[in-house]
Amino acid sequence: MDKLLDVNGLTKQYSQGNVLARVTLTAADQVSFHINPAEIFTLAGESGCGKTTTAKVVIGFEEATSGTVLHKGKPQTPKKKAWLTEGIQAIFQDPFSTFNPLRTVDRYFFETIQNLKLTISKQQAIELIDEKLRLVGLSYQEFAGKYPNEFSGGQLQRISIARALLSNPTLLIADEPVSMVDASLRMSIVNLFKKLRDELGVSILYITHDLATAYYVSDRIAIMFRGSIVEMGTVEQVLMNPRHPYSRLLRDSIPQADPKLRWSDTVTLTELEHEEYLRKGCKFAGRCPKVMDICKRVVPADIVVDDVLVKCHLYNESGAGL
Amino acid sequence: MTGKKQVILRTEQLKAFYILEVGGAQKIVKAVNDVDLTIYENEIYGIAGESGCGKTTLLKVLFNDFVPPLRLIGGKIYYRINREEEVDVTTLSPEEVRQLRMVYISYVPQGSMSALNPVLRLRETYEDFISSHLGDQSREEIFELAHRQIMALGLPKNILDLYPHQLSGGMRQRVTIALASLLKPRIMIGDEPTTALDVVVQRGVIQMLKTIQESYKNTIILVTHDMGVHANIADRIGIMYAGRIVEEGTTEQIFDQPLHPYTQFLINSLPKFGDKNMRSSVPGSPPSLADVPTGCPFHPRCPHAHEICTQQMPSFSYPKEDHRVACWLIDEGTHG
Repeated sequence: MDKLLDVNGLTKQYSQGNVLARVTLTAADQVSFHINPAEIFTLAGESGCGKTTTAKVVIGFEEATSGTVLHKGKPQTPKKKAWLTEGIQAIFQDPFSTFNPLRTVDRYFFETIQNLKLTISKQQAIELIDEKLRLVGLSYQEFAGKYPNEFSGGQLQRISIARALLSNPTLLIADEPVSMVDASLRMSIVNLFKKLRDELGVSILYITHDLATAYYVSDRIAIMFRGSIVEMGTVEQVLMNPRHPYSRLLRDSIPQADPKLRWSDTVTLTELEHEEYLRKGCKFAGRCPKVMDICKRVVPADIVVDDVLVKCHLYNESGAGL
Repeated sequence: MTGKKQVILRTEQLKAFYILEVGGAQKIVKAVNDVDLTIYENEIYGIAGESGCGKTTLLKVLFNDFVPPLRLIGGKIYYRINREEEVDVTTLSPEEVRQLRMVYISYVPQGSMSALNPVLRLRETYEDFISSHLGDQSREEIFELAHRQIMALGLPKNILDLYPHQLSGGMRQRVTIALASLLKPRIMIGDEPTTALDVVVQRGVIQMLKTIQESYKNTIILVTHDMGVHANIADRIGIMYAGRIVEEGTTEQIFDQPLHPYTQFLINSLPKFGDKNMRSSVPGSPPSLADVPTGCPFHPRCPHAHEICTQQMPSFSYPKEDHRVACWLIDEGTHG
């Protein structure tokens, strides 16, 4: 199977401060992954783990410091913004700030159609809009001429998905698409992703901190921590049997909607996030319950155990694992 | 949960509306509508519901904080202070209300950045806080108290010398909770206190709330839309819909035997690890509180709605002790 998106060694550095005191922060460090056609791939992690930075580079909002991003085998050219017309579209976190409150929502649709020259006449445009809205469970009649405040968060998020679908993309990049949507309406968005994958063959890069919906919807998942992918594999393997100590901590920290599964043990939190970023060796060593001497000195290699990629010294040839 | 339960806070047919003048016309937002709550000592009471269901307003009302356009339309709020007679706090003078704040009842807001003064070191914030609520205590005594608490909660020792922006979001939220619990209030009210936090940090903050509750044996009223948090920490849960409590029960009852169709949708929509079965959202959209449907407010979204549901709000039925639900179907015994 040909890879739809192939990200290789993507690194993005930001420098902070002035000429005298400059700190370089590596937001994404040698990130490599690929997405197959008709697949939902999740990038998961906490804030500051580099998942949004990675997405921004893939969309073309930011230029990578090093590394390559290939879409259908072609390299990305962020300057030309040509990608947006070639089958990649994005959905963002806050549906209320996606749309200008003073403009009717349908204008965004007509603009997109105009910019991408998708149809010739207005009647065709309306038919196209109606077709896409029906995919997300709305229709042109109930949406034409309305302002964003006349919709609920869940509806607006579905509208922005419909807009993204106008150009028949092959890849949707969804950055925290459900975190601002009510829990009771979240599943309508997540189920929509499944439908797009199964019926239209759209691939989705799903970026989230919510491992429960990630498990529900995605095929493969990568857990990021402080700029690096620490574990990657199928959701069954990574979430049901996490191998990296950080993945395990993250998985166990999701409050489960079941009073029988309350936490019994306690967690320690970092005092300074900055320190973790600048740490040599494994960045999780400061909090890891299984920390060894080598972890503080050497960055662990990517090790493949049962088709799962794990970035941890515990899985070296000599190591026994968790 | 058995044994003698002491009531600490009680409301009777509480109604609080926002009354707005929009271009000459009056607009009434019925944010809290006919809420009867009984909350006990030494428990964590969770309030759950969609955004815009009035849960934050309910907290403001329980905190006895009425800022126009929010107005108390009817009903009473009783606190039981020092285990004495119940006091209707809506009749107290502003000064009496102020004296209860933080000492008897305290509030943990969602955005901790706006709760702490950004240009003051935390030491000064603490100083301000303590002197305005305790009066003439010596500085040493005050910091003795603050230090002891900071150590007990596992925060770094030098934290009082820092500015709020030097702390991470989770640390700031923990400082806000530390402040809110400093004077050992009998009731702590939390409005989505963990919502803006990262997963692991959220777990730390929930842990801290639990530790505080267990050591003070006080009451925490916690509003969050995250049912996972409720499942983890709450003893009892009230489900709020369109300004009303529609179901209330112990955490186990709500999660294992939800009775109201809305609660059932809410619980069944939650994804779980190891279970990839299809889950669906609550159908439709939440109603506007300025235009609440007649009868049971859930009837336009309810798949089981009858004629009567569109006309009359059902009263509570009590299928079990501690478990009450407002739904016509439960009375008739044809549902669930």
